[in-house]
Amino acid sequence: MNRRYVRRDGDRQADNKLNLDPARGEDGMHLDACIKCGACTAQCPVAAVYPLFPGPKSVGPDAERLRLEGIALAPGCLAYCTNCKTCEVTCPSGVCITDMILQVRRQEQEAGTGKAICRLGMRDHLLGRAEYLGRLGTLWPPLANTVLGWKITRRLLEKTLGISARAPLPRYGRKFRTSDIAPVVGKTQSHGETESYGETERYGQSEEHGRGKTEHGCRKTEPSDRVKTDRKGRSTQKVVYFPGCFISYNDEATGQAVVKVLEHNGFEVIVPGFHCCGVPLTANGRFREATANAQHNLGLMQPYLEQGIPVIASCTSCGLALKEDYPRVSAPGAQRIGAQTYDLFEFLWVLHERGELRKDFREVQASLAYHAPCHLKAQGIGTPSVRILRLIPGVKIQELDAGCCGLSGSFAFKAEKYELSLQIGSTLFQRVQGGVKEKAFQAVATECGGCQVQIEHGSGAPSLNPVWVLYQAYGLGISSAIG
Amino acid sequence: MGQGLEKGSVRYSAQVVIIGGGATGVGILRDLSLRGISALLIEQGDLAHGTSSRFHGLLHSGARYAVKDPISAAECIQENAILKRIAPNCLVPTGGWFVQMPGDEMDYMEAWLKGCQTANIPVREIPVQEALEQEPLLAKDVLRVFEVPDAAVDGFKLVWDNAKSARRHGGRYLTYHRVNEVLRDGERVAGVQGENLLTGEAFTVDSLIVVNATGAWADRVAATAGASLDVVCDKGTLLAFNRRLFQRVINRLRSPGDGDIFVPHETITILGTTSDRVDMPSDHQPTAREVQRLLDLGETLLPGIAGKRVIRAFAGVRPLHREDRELAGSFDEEEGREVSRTFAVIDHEAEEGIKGFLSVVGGKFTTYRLMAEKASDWVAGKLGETAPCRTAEEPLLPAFPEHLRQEALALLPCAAAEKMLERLGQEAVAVLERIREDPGKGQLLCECEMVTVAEVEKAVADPDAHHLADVRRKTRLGMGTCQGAFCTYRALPLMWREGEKYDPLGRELVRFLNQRWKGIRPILWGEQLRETEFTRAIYAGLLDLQDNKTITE
Amino acid sequence: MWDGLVIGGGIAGLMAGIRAQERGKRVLIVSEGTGSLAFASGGLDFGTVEQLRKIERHPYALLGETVEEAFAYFLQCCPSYHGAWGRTGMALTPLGTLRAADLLPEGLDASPLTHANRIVLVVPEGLKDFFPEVVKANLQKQFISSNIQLKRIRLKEFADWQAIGKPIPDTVYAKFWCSEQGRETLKNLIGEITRKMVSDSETLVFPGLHAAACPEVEKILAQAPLPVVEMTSFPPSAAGQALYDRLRGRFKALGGELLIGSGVERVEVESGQARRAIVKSKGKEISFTAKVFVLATGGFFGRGSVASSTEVRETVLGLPLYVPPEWSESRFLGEQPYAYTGVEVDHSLHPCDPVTGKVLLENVFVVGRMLAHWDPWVGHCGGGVSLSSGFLAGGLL
Repeated sequence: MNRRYVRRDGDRQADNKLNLDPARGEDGMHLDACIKCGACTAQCPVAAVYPLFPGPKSVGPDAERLRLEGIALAPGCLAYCTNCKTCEVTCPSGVCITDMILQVRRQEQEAGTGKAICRLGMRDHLLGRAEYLGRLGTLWPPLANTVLGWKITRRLLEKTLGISARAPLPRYGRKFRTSDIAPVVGKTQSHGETESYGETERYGQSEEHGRGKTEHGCRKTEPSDRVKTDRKGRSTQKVVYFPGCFISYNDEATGQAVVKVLEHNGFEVIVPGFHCCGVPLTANGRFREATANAQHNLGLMQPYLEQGIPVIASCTSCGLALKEDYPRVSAPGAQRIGAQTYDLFEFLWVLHERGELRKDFREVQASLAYHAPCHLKAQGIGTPSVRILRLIPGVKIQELDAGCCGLSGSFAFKAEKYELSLQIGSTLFQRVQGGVKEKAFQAVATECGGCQVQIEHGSGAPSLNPVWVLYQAYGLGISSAIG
Repeated sequence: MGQGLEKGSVRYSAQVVIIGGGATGVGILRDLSLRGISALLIEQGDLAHGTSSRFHGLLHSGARYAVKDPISAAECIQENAILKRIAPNCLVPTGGWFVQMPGDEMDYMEAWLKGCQTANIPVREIPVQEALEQEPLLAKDVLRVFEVPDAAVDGFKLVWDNAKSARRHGGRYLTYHRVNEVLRDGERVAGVQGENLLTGEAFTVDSLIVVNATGAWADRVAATAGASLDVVCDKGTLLAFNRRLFQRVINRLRSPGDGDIFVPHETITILGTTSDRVDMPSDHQPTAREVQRLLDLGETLLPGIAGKRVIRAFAGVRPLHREDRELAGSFDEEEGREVSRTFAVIDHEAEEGIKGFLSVVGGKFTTYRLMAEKASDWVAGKLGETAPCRTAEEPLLPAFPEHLRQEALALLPCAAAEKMLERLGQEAVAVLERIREDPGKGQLLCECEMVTVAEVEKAVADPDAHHLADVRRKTRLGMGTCQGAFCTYRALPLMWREGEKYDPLGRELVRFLNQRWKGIRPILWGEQLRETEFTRAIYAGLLDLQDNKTITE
Repeated sequence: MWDGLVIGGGIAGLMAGIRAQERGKRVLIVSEGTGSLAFASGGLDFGTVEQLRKIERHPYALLGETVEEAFAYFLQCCPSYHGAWGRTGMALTPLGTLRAADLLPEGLDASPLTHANRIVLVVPEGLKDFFPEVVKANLQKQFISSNIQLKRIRLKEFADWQAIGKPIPDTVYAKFWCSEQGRETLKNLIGEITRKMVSDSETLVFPGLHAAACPEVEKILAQAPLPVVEMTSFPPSAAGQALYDRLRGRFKALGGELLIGSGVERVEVESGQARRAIVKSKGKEISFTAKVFVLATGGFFGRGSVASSTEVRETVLGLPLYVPPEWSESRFLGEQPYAYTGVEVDHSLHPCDPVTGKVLLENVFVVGRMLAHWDPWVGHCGGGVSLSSGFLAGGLL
């Protein structure tokens, strides 16, 4: 029995370390608010199809009370949580269920109890680094895609690394960049620092309104406050764009479309040399590296954040990380990043509400279904892309409301989880297939690149980022998916 | 019903009858049984349903009494060490802190340190910074922190383990049996007579000796034998918080007062207590006023306490004995806390000439074993038995082998396995066997406290379980966050199935809900109010249960 | 600028949203999480409307004829529901007892049991929170002359669940029955039971089915040679969830937007008008302006009202609340005064000052559990008050 005491004592130390962070303390996670209604587990996409996963109530608030007593969850319980956050969105009590789960994961990681067998450790190591894979893949995309397209490669990957041979690994494309590379911007001299930010790309009017303009003070600004015009009467508003790994390595064309749409609305788009936002690292248990990435990215954003320049994310998972996780990182800029990050369409909607969104829309004959990515729901901003697209003449868009697609970042790529991911997404796929068959819509619009890949894989229907509709409406070009 | 008693029999005999199934009573039962003396315990409710479970669950180090009551302090630290040895599964050696807050008298601290030294209570000062790191919710303006060997003790478990240990050595007990009268045969007591409250049958026990260990009821029971006792009923109200707020016992370093002890207990934290004189031992309904007072007082040690979720309030009635009648006028009758907490073993032969009748009153949970030892010494002396007391050495439960933990972990989620082993010790073998046969029995019936179906079935099958509340005391069912919202519904079919004791829709469900409700009413706000709305939606709405006045009591 | 912003996505809020959206208004519903429908039985109670109407200050007294209109409107919204004004139906509780309900999905209607001389209770293995012996005993008690039999079914599709003894939620079972494989299994099962039928007045009691969630299953049941009676289930329930999905789907199909996951922190009031709802999204507060606001925040359960040990307050607008002088009663299932806490309103659901009776905000409607002077569990009118107040607000918006 002494043994128990020792164990509890040991745990107590770990608790205290975490509790010191106010954002992560038990009060901040609203443990007391849980009334045990079970809505979270009833809505959990994984618990419904996979009995070995105890469900978010059990591994979240139920376990948290016991953890405070010094009794830990059995290691491995959490491996099947995809961090989709459906539980948190569902919870009528505001309990931060996934925070509780991540905290335990982090503890497991630190204690080394959650360590998977070596082979899978390597796999998680790789999948957590979508960025490095992406860099490799985009060196010579045709080669990467060809090799990854070979059955033998995929079988090898499954055998050696446990990466499913059937999962829809996204194709690599040209790396997202622009020919229009601006000079590297150092931290503003008024701050007396010299460190470089790494490669930074600027779009729009960057030549004329380059570095000098970044030296304004730290005034906190709303988008409309920043409306300034240059001598020629053109707007000189700036935004920082966080493209994320999917855009950077798999879908640079969409990245270009995002930039064009923002430019069309008079924004200068700045793209510093960001690393991966950290979500895949967190999901694969690489917490320290996720934090390091966040610190790196915050460092790049800091001067812009200080000037009140908004950060735009088009990937909903990156956006969520910037809003939710980055403010908890200890780094300059962490206090501002949450409030200054906008989902692309959230940002456009703010412009619309202020009468600043350009509405020179051409008619777009498009009939679309809309799938709301889990991490968009988790942002708590509604579905602004649907609102925006409904402003465009000719566009018909209907929300599918059929739950999670099942991909969850790299979850579906894991051999043992691939089938599960299809089961999770089955309701969605069926609804998509039904709609396409009945000609209710021609394609599925969704912001998340992962969702796009999985929906195409699971239902066979085409998918696209909704920005393409806007792109076409602005007359910037034609999108193949809507024709 | 205890072993060795024929069902339906209404006449029992034993060398000794013990009235009262609290800690003292079962302590005496075990002590006598270990000495080979035949003893029968009679309890009017379930074991430990009274004061022995209606307290803060603090195993005193004695430090709380170091200034005012040095005898108690010395007794406590001795017993503290003994219980840690003999009943490790009933307590968690959390340690305890005495914290000095601004405004607390300096003189007291010095006297306290001296008192602890005299009583041999080890004290270690903790640097304030370190203390705040270890207990982040503790008030930041704390001045000094001292560590003592306080611990958290589970009253239900300790009482039941004593009873089970006694039973292994031939001790017997009858629950839901109320003693109406202590019988006399001239100068001697001859036994007791009373009523089986479950069946309404009368019963009689013939015995040479009667031990009155009925706590707050002691004066009433003594009176039936024509003896008199002066017992003060002192109600102490406590609050149970939803989760662990502190990892160790937190005491205020000042003259003991209301609302100055926090005890971490399993998944929850208990804040106590108040001290109010009441007329009847059954006056243990906490009031909203007492609850508010506790919150106001607790705020000093735990700022923001009003925002923490309270899951219920409860109260116990402490039996305080006015030991020294000559001093009766020297303390305020309204202040129960001023009465000595040192126990008294009263030989009614010496006092009133009644032979073979002993009352044990006063004292505290921490010293139950010592009280039992003294009482048993007296009994043994009267019976001419010479076997010595063994309760200080003999463990309550045999330690369970490590492989049992491994087996439990293989079958159950980690937390559920640990909790079950804590509760059952070696008895977990039967539960694990059941789960191995039918994995469905391993599902969690109570998700808050992680109690499996198999464990509840075991508790239900126990012949001592007559009501859902009896099962609750053994399993912690319904004692977590939801306070029975889910598990009541899930447990009742088991009660009904096993031996068909209850109609699933009848009084038992309503009775249990009403019992839980008693503790929720005084704290009906915040999240527990939401929980109540939810629980009403389930039972009054979805299940459409009615509470006709006739089945309330 | 939205025409209407509904705070709260329970039944009252959804009803208000659907009706307003149908009237061509643009409506946003903001909801902290899933509404309480997910915990409900799927049936809706109206209570004895005529009697409740006579109780001074009861919402029915204010709502007048709207209650009947809302009843009819709901049936129009949810064609799979049955009910007739003034005639109460019966459904089986999870314990197998009968309970009155006014609007029910067809499958939950227990009336076929009254003339069944044989009842077959399907026992899906491992179904969570379902106790067949108890249900059987209670059925027997109520239908004394019926012969009640258990039909246990074990599905290979749930072998993984059974191997670890994990109970299967009825939402999971319901999803299975709706799948292609499930429908095939269901057809075979009904066929098998039908073949063994010994009399022509048999009824099947089938927990965990929830046909209302799946038109294909409804079709199978319609063709079955014997009536199939479903059971309400312990929360969270598939039938409640199905109703929630149905109403949510309708609202969205009409073009409404539902923001779930972040509740409204507060609503800002300017010169006697509610103006902006502040929503705490991730990272920052965002605001939505609207012409009209509907307060459907669900009373204490929905946290529209919050009580501390010393006070009670309305959380979004800070409206004054009626608070009863006594707070609770000793019988848990009896009348509980606290339940009568809420906002007092005029006939158009505008919040009023409880002392002066003056309308406080002209562009706010208060609906559902936020209304004062009623207790759904004593009056058995939870569905009725919520539906009809939501319906009225949706019409006024």
